[in-house]
Amino acid sequence: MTKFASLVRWPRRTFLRALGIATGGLLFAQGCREDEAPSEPRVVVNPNAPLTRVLRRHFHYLEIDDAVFAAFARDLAKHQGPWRPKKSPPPFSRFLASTDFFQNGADESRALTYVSYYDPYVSPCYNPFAPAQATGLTRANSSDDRGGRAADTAPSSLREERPRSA
Amino acid sequence: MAGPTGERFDAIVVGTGFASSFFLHRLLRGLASSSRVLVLEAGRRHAHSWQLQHPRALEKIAARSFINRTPAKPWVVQRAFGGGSNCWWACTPRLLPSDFALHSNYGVATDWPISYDELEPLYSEAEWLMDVAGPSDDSPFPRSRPYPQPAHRMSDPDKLLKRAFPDAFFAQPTARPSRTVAGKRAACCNNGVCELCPIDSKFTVHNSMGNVYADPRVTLVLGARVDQVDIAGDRAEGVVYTRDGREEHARADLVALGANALSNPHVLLRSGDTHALLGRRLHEQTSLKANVLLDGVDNFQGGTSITGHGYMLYDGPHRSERPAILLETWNVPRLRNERGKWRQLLKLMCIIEQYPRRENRVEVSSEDSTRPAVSHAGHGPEVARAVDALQRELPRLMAKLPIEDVRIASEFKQTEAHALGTVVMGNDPATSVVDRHLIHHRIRNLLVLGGSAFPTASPANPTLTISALSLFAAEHLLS
Repeated sequence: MTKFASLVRWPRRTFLRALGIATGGLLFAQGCREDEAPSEPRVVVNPNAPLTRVLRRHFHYLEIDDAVFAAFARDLAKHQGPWRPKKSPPPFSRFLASTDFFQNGADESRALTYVSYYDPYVSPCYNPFAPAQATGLTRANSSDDRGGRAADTAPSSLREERPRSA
Repeated sequence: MAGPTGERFDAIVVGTGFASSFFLHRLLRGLASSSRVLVLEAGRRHAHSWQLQHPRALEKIAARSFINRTPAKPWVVQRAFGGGSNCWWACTPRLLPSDFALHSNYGVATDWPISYDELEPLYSEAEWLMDVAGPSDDSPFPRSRPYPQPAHRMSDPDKLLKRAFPDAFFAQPTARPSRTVAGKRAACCNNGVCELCPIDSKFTVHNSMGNVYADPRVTLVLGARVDQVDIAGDRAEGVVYTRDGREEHARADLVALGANALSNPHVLLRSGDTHALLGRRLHEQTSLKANVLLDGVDNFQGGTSITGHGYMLYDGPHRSERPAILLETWNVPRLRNERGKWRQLLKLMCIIEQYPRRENRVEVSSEDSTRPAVSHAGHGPEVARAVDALQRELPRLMAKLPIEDVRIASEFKQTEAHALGTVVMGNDPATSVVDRHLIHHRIRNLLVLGGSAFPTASPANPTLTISALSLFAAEHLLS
């Protein structure tokens, strides 16, 4: 199982459980499938594509395999249409959020892995910014645990004083 | 399904948004099993799955429902089953007690004909109907009951603000649930696109009040645009509506207009109501965005799209000089495109109270009388005073956090999607159209529900107050 798969296990499971209660449908669950990205056919990257060139130049300080660019370009084209340099700004933020960069604490020394196309309508509940402890919150949110308050996920500098409302 | 022409009902309710649904919810609890209520909705029913497949379709449908004579000032309404619940962001603050007495307290604008204390139990009831998540033990307004759900997780900048302003910064109350609502909705997982939630988590009439419209006493007719109230002397006899191009009539002992603040006055104007204030005073809040560039503090750990409410610039003696400002802290990840500082950005929405102006109005158009025509003459001078205060005070407030800079936008957000004030409530029939129970001063079996009754627009989002007022009105009727 990939690193991502273990990270997203709780949101997906919770989501599916809640969805069964709320709608009984499968429409939105598909975006949270942990094996969605790996099941896509492998795409041959064009290293000279404008999007790849722009992303590679902008993130020159990160280790990014061509396959990561290719996967993102494929999903971007699939969901929004191919990127057109003269019509829209480069999707830097969406690209980074689609990788494990933030889940790894924005560690610039780690090679990036493509996780899931970052778009709430494509991958609902995929949140690379949620703190690791938020899985505890997710469990508290689920229908089988109504006892807990939101987890205090402040960094150590904030942790000593619990906010009254959290 | 369709109500045949001339059919008689105990009550006719117009619209299916918050105002009508909460009114109906309470009314049905007090009506006999043999009672019959006709609900007329101009729009159609669009399932959540349909809305996902047709993004912005409801917006386009609604835009055709009125004539905007000043397009630079857009207004957001909905013409669909569920009304504004389809596109709202589910922010549910209450008004502060002082918001109900602006003139008495500060000598500006108008007092409401109802006090916070009178509305408080209905606020609680509305919060429980919406399964609101909020900070029960730490709230800016007095409360008689806890929130039904705990507050969402704050972001790290929120926590710093809470530490700096313990009595003025709070987790936002919201109908985006922090826990699953059994049988109805999944917990919010912070998708950040609440105008159309991908997982249908926020409260909507569709997902949480369908039972009201499934009640056997209720006949719901969709695609029925109400054109006027049939008025004979001082009594409403029923309504005239158009459906599939055909004019229909329905009769009832009670008529409740619960459409939006553009349609309610339009229907009354077409019905021959000539009150000098009818259709006037159209207003909403305005807002400015601000970006706070953080220094070494990451954002976006919060549990939902908007996580905090700052009241530091809201209430106090300054309201004699300038309007209240509510600060919203946003947790939707809009990244800062700088290496090593991607998450070091706090977006604030600074929502500014506006006083109603007579010039801003809804009229019956001579070109197309079937649609309200809307004119807006601009902000009043009080808004400039609020902006001055914001520019002066916000950097000082944010300096309590480790920051690099505070950047306040120079242009106002075009709309807050909160049309208000066009069928104003009050105690004096000379200066208001409906009374404190939302009953028309002259036509005593006609109610006008919704934001159109608001005497003033506090910076707090109005939906919870709209819902509580509808419960208040229904409770009065039944008593």
